[in-house]
Amino acid sequence: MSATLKQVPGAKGEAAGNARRPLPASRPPGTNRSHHEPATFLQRGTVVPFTTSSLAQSRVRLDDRGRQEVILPGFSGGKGVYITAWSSLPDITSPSVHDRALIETIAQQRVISPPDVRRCWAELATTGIGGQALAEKAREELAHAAEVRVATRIMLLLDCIRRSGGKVGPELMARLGHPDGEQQAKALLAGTARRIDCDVATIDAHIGELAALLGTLGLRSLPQPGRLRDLHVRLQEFSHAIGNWSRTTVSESAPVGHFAAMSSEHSAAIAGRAIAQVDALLADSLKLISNREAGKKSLRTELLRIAWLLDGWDYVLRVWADVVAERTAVDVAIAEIGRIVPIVPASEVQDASAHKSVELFRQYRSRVGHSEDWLSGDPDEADPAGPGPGNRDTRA
Amino acid sequence: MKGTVSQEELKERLFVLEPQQFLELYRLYEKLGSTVDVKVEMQILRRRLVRMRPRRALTFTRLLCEPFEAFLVNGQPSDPGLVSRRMCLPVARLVRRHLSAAELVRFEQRIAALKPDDGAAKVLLGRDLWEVAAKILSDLRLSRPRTPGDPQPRIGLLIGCLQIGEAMVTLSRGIPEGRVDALDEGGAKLLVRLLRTLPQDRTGHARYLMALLARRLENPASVMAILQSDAGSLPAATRQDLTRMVRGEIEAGVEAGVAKLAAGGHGAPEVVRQAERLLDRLGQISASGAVGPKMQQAGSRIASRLGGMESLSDVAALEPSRQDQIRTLLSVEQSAGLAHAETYRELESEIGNVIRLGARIDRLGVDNPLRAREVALRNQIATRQAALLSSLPQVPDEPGARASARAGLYGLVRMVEMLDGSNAAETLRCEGDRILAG
Repeated sequence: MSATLKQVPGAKGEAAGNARRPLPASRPPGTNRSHHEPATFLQRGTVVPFTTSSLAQSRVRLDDRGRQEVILPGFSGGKGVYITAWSSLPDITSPSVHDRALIETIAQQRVISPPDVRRCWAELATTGIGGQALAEKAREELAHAAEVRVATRIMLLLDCIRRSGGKVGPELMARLGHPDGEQQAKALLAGTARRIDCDVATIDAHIGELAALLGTLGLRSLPQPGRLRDLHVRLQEFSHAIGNWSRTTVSESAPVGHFAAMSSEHSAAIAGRAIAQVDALLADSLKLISNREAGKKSLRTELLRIAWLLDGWDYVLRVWADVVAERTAVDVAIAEIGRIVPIVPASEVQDASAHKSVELFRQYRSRVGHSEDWLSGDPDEADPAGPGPGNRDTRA
Repeated sequence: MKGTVSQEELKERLFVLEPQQFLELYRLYEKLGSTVDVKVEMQILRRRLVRMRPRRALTFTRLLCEPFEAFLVNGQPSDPGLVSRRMCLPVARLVRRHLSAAELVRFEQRIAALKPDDGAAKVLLGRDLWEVAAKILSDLRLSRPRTPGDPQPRIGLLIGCLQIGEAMVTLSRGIPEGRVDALDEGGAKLLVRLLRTLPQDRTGHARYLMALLARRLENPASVMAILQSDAGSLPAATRQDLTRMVRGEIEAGVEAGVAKLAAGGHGAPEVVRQAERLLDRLGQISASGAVGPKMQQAGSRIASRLGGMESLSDVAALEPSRQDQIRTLLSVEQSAGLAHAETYRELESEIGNVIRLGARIDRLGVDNPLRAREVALRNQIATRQAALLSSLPQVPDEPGARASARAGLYGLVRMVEMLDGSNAAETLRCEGDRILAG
């Protein structure tokens, strides 16, 4: 096996200055170890939807030389994370063919952001390489995004017409999905064009571009929300649910549940503000369209931020759904959730709630398990069954 | 926002309400009556209710029934080891009728005076009531001539549980609510302590404790391992007896399940689900010691039932109108897999079930008719693979045709992975991709 792994334990003090730099790609055995406490989304990386269970919730990111690397949480049952080169993943584990193909695709396209990784996965999964159930799920997701785009485009079109004084009668509303209705609506855009000093074709193209951006979120007024808006709602529900569970249970896992509730509440609150920002931008479609590139750029930035904020949570919600449906024992699920719960990096929060991220990372580090040092979280060195301190950093 | 909540949404959002709001909602449902919909929805709500263990007002009937609560089922019980919940009220009435007026008043007063969170006082009070109730029911049973329709085993179960009521309640509370695979260390210690402290003349009643574990644990056979390893303080003969009891409880459950499975009348999905559960149970028994002839026979019956089925595929057909919609919404590359979807998903389901159930049958060491089916499936996939590889060089150089060919290849790759592992599948993928790349 040629791959070199470095382990970054989940518990030991790290200088604040170091936290803002990506961790170096390789580290000789036994040298200074630091926490995996990413300061930015780029350092945290994007969850890759692998099907191999040992790779669940692995994240792809760039190292300080711009090469792709992977962060493996709790690999081989450890508490910290392992980081290794992206290309060496097939050498250190036995991935499914789906995962091998996904590793190749992500490497070829050099993607690292949540929307790009999701697109790569969905397009690959539709081929059936991960099984027909996964293919069906991917097709449904892509189809749903397409439906949201179509509906968003129509809503933006209507909003522009109304805001420039045009009237849309019930007959036109009923025909909007058909070519003749579309033609009529475009004709009504002439008023908008005059108002913002632009031609109808450009406005129509611009609306199309905005709608294309919004496929994963959709408009607040749509009956069917986009994937991220729906995920945000479910994340809020999960936060309440696991919070309630942890308050009323007698299980020893209650503190982990409480931690997951706090982290999900924090992520949901910040994502909620970002979604509100998008909704505010979309509230005046005329202004957004007249601003053209600036409007589109703001929208793209906020949408990307929402995707980063919600990245990794859908897996957590699936694990919890298994608990609710009694497919998984609650303590097993809570242990898994505690292992991979996403925390918003401190530098990504501009306001006063940044301290909450710091607090969450502190709590995450201070969860001490059986035979672990209560200060560092390292396996107790006096424990003859535990691995020695010198042979844990590098595994070949 | 929608004005109504579907049962699916209710299931999904069961934990969203604050505990107090949830209890208020549950009480509202209780007042709504007993229509079919209300009953179904209340069943969903109970999933959270049992985990919350809300403080319910203690009544004479609730306290009386606590030792045998694990055996209560809604509706008619199919198993002699279970009791209909509808029996609770008549049994309580019977006990009340045979208590002296002074005794009844004393019990009612003590129940009314009990603080809701005083578990110890509740058990003390319960111990008195359960002892008296067991005696009343026992005397009544002896005084009545037995008739063929008498639910004797069930009455016997109630009396037995009441006679060791304190141990039953203590053990029940010692097991976490919800899905529990096996007893943890604390649970194992509690069980051994309870077994050791059973009264001398009630040692045979350990079977009720074993029956409770068989009912509450996902892997009741794990108790046998506890009895072998942790229960060193118990005499060897007692441990053997207890192991036999647990085995008896599990075997009775398996036999009832096998009889139901053999009766037929279910579709493939239901048969596969039931068979898998029973095979798992048999596997647990097998892992904890030798499988007896009865269980060997049960394993053979399950295997032959599965072998006799035309197909083990348990997927429902795709909805054609939705597939058409998806075709119009997606690009040709993204929707190319639809051309093979129906055939491949049935094949995948068949392969998955044959492998999964076949492995479970193999572990039992009985004849496995699914092995022959696996060979047939392997041959079928090999034939498809050869045909596909020979057709790939002729694929026209246009996006739709190439995407369809790729989806055809990758779908097969997945099935090869299921049958022969990821290395064989990766070899096929690389070969196919190479041909497609020209």
